[in-house]
Amino acid sequence: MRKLFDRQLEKATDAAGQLDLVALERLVTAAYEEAELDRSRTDRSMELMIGELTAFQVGLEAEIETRTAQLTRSRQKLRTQNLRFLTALENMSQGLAMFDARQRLVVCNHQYLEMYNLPRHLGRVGTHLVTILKARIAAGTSGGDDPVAYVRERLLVATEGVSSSAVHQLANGRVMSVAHKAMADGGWVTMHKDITELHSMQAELAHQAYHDALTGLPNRNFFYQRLGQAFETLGSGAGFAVLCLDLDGFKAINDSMGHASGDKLLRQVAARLSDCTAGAGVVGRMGGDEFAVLLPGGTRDSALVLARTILDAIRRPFDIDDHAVLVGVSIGIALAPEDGAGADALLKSGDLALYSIKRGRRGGYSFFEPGLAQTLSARSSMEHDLRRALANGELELFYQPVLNLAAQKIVGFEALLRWRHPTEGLILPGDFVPLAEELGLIMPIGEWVIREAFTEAARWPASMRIAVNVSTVQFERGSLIDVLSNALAASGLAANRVEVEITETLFLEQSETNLDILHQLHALGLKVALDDFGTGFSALNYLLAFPFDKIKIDGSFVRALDNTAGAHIILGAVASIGRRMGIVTTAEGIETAEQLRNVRALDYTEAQGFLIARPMSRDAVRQLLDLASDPRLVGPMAVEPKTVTATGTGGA
Amino acid sequence: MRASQLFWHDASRWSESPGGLERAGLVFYFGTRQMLADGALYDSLRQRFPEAHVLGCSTGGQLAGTDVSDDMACALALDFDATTLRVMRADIAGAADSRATGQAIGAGLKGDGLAGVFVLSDGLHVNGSALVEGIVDAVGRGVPVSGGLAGDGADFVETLVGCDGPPMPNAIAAVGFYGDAIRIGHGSAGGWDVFGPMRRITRADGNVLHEVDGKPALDLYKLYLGPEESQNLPGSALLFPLRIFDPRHPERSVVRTILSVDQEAGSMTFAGDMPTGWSAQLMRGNFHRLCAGAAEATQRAVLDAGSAPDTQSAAIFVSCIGRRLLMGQRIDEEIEAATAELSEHCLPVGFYSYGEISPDEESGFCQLHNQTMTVTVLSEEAA
Repeated sequence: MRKLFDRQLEKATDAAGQLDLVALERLVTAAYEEAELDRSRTDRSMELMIGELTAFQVGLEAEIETRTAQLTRSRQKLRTQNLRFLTALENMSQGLAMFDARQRLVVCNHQYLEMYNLPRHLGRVGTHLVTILKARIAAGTSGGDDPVAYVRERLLVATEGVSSSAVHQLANGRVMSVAHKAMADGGWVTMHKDITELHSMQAELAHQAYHDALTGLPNRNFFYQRLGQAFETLGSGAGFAVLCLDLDGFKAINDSMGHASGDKLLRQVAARLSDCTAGAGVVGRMGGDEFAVLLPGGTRDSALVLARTILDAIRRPFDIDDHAVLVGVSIGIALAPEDGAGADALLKSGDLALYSIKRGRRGGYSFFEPGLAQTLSARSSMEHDLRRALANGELELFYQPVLNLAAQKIVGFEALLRWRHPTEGLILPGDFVPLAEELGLIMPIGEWVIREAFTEAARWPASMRIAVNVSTVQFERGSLIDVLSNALAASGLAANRVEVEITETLFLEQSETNLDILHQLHALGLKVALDDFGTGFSALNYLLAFPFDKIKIDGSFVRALDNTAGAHIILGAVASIGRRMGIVTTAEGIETAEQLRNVRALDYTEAQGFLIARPMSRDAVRQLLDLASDPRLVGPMAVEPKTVTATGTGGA
Repeated sequence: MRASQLFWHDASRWSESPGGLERAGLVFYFGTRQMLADGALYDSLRQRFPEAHVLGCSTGGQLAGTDVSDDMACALALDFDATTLRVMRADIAGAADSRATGQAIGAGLKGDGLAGVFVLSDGLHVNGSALVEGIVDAVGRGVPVSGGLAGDGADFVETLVGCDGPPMPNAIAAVGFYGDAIRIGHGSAGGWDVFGPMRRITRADGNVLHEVDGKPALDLYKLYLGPEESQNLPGSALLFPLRIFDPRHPERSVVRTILSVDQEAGSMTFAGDMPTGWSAQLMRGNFHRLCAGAAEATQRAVLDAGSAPDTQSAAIFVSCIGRRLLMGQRIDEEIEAATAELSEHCLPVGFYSYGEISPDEESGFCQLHNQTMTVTVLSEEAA
């Protein structure tokens, strides 16, 4: 301050050394004011600064408090979240393990440890993956057959950093679904689910989808697949064969013995079929009583051998609930590639072959023939027409007179079925009855025949008998007795005027049942005739099995009389048996006067044939009977069948 | 080199110390705006030294011996033996042109043997930082640039700069020293203390500061100045300069002083850039430390020039008007402390400015300073 005052003095002193006191006072006053101003400025600055700093500090403290509260809340939240996470982790159904980039365990749940039979201490944070995998090998919970390969594979998955999922079959038999999810930091999470039950269920379902539950054989779908595969490999080697099988008489067994027994039979059939192929082929159940066999590499010869083997095997009696049950089998054989270019075509060919064998006599085998398809087509058309024939009134009955040789009189008529087809003309029974049998149409048709014949016969003189043919199918269906009784009742025809003609085939199947029905026919008062004798097995024990009222020897023997010496002996023997057993004998197919003389000489009771009369219409019969009742006329020769037919037609 | 001091008294003539120069190559002169405005001072010098380049500017007070005077203009005439000179004069339309104008001046001065540049610039319509950067862009970092921005007392109305002509507003004058003989020394020091909380420049545009910590910058100054001193804005704001620095480089801080305020916008225009995002802290002066700073700057400049004590030299002081406003009558003590560091063969001249230009003490980069005392010492190596 001294310096300042010196300078003020200097400034207030003029050149002459005169001090200007006013000037000095101004300077000094100004200096005081400046000092005062600076002090107040400093005070103000300090005060403001303190204020600012205090506010800043208060702000900081508040901020710290807020942050601390936030931190506390965050920590609490974190703790809650951790708790939730752990609860979720320990309560999930799957096993979970998380590893870091150094392949060390970060976290796992108890399910994970339990799934792999791992001790609790291995669940500690930091346990190395290799340690866990080694423990799993020891516990028998490593995957696959080769533990070393498994460890290598898991380590590879761990280091690849790619998410994946796989199903592992463990050494202890359990099956695990493992989902591996790579994390951004190089670690990974794996989710483990024990899918053993699911897996076996899936396997079971897959088996069920492809196998028949009853027999355990491949089902139709699976068989198709196998067939498709066989076609795929066709180019590389030999062809193959398919055998389509259908049991004969299975339905009757099912109906009579019950479905449980039917099922047992199917199981045994399946077993025998499997034995027959001896692992060399694929046996499938196509449905119902249908089976099929795929014979890889099968040729015509080897298919034939197999078909015969199967026929033999199935014909052997089956033991069902202590009953010996017989069943037949029909086999249609198709060969690839010649009989079909694909599974469908080949199976169709096999079915056609099967159909052809079933259409004829049952039991046996048949190879596919190219013409079968056309046959099938024709059959299909006929089937269609036949279904409407009855309703359309296209069926007619013709009646063939039966001549009593001793009396020289017509004693009755055999009712013969004809189908007057709108375009094909008159069709004989041999051409449509088998089809009607197959389609089940034989029941209504047979019933119609019986009613129609009985109604017509009821108009005839009481001495005239009526003969009706009954098919084996009608026996098997079991309603024949009812049909006959009802027809008798409806027509008022006396039962003893009726002859029921059956054939030998009735004894081939269900002989016990059929025999029983035969006895019931007798009980109704009906007569029973054995038709077409000599064409089938001609087993004489049939004659012992049932007291037939009549034997009708087949026309072929009569025709053979003309040029075969033996025919005379056989005809004679049958006539002799009939005479001795008290059974009426009828010779069929008499076409010449010579034949008629012969059978008369052999002492046959009756004769039938064109020579005597052709089958004639209802009206012709009525006319004939009117004539026959004329006492002036004696014998059938007076009536020319053609004339009668013509007259009958003309009278209609 | 020879030197001579001249003073302009109310007698409307320059008085020279005995043994004045016969001729001079370069004359610097400094006076208040009022003194310079009519061009008489320039005309008189031009008559006295017809061959010299005459550069001068208005001030916030100038040196008269060891005193600071508002009544007496001062001049320094230099006569070089082996140093050549080149001068540039440029007009500037506004602060936005500062860098381009600096580059034009630098380009004009750039040449072989350029040993240093001394600049006198308009003090109100220039972004001093950008101007210096522009000159350095052209002449290169190796050439020291010093000088200052013209002042207008505490009025901040108009500043004048002249270069071989009557002083004018919106003008910039520069002289380049060429040759091996010239010795130029620089020194710069502040002596201000930071105080109060660290703040953040949250909105600024070039050298216009809008907001600090999200609040109008002017409000902060008004708060610290109080209602009375706020009446004297912008001059009173010089009492609280701002230290600013890039938060990533706190060691490279600079001090900024105010040039003008916009009461409506609440913004303040500073003498240099105010980058958004930089940290800022208020500063206040301490008389003793300001004087010590002035002495230290002079010491450095003398050392930097490296001339022998018996060699004729000259020292040009450019000190901030803020220092004078703060120290009041005691501003003489700063000059006394500074000139005490000079040898008897060194003649001082100087003025109180709106900005000082000098190489940075730490980095050596030439830049604009505020609230400092900068010293440029000139001498010539004996032939």
